[in-house]
Amino acid sequence: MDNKIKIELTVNGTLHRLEIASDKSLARVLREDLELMGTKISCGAGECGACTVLVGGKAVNSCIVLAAEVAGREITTIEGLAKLGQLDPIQEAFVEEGAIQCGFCTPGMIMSTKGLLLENPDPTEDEIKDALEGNLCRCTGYLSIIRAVKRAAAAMRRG
Amino acid sequence: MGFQYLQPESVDEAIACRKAHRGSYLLAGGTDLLVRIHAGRLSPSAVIGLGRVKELDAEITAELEGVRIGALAVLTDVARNTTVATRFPALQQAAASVGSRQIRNRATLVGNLCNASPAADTVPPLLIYEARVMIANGRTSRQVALEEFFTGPGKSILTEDELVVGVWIPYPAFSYCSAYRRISRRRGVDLSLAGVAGLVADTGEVRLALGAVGPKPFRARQSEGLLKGYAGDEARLEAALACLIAEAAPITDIRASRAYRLEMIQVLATRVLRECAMEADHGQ
Repeated sequence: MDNKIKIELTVNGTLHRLEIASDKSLARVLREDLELMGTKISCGAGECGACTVLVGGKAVNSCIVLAAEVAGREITTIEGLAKLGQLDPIQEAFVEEGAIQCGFCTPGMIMSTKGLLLENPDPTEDEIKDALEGNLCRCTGYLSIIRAVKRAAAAMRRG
Repeated sequence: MGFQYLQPESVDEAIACRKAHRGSYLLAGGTDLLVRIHAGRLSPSAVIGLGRVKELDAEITAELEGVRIGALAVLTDVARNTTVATRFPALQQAAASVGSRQIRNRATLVGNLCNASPAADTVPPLLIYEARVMIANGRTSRQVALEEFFTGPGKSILTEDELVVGVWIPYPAFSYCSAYRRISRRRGVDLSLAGVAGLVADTGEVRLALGAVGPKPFRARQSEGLLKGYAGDEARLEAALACLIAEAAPITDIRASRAYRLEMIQVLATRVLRECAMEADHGQ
């Protein structure tokens, strides 16, 4: 059975023409075919959020999305946030607040935050917790992460 | 692992795919199906993606007599829809409680129904609103009451040559208050171990539906009968709760024991009914 299909994926603004196994997850295509290693695969079941990327501006678990499902959509990964060598305000805020320890959950945390701030530039603490409920961190205890999201939101509102 | 992913462009093509691939599965959001496949609990030879089927849509349409929710509408959109929030608040609360933000951005309401999980959060609310499932097979279409849709855990009346194209939720003909409450081990990314949806109408009618305490979500009709005319009356509530635990048939599993679930449906039903009675009071 020939299981390969040809798809076009737009990742961080660049169009890629790929031939992949039709059952391959978006997370694996990002890591294995496009060598974008920022997106992590941990639980592989949509529970930990380490693989979070944006599809059309919305946070999704890329480990339980097939690449073929999102062909033609705009995909943003952690590698797509920094512009011209300048970190995104969310990345800066995570560094400044010490919201990174081992760092494994960080790309997913930041992409969930990006999805939140794109639609709600001034979230309450409860809204931040809601937006991050699908992202697990085993190091920080979350407090520094929540502070970082607030700091990033404030910085982005100032422009 | 290792399946072929097919992308039919019409209901007819999708049904043809199903017939050509015995034991294939339909994928809308994939948040449940792909997890089960990755865990090795399912190994279909083919998965049929519904995203390109031209007859299916992601619209949530408020019509004169009710709301239609298309097969591809995701739970984030259901939870944020203003008509759903004002007319069907129990559904809004349930949709917002499923999984996580990432899951709700992919998972569809219709997918939640078609999985036919006994613990599906959106089902008890849809049961109290007496929602109908819109089913098509390419040539004809039919509607069935959601209550008749499920036949057991993971099972529904849907045949291999049928697709669910949407859900129809009629506006009740009376004014009412309604709510959904669930309990899970933790708030995010966890399945309900019990869920209760309730509706208290100004006509005196009371509706209660339970999730995760039987082989399928169900209306607790005997308890509803005992609650007719309920307006915060404690003695009547006591009697109804005793009846409610007789109507439920929970199992003991990894998430909770049967005894705990029976306790919890009483707690949840009490909260839901008191909240509805209080809200009705304030509304008058």
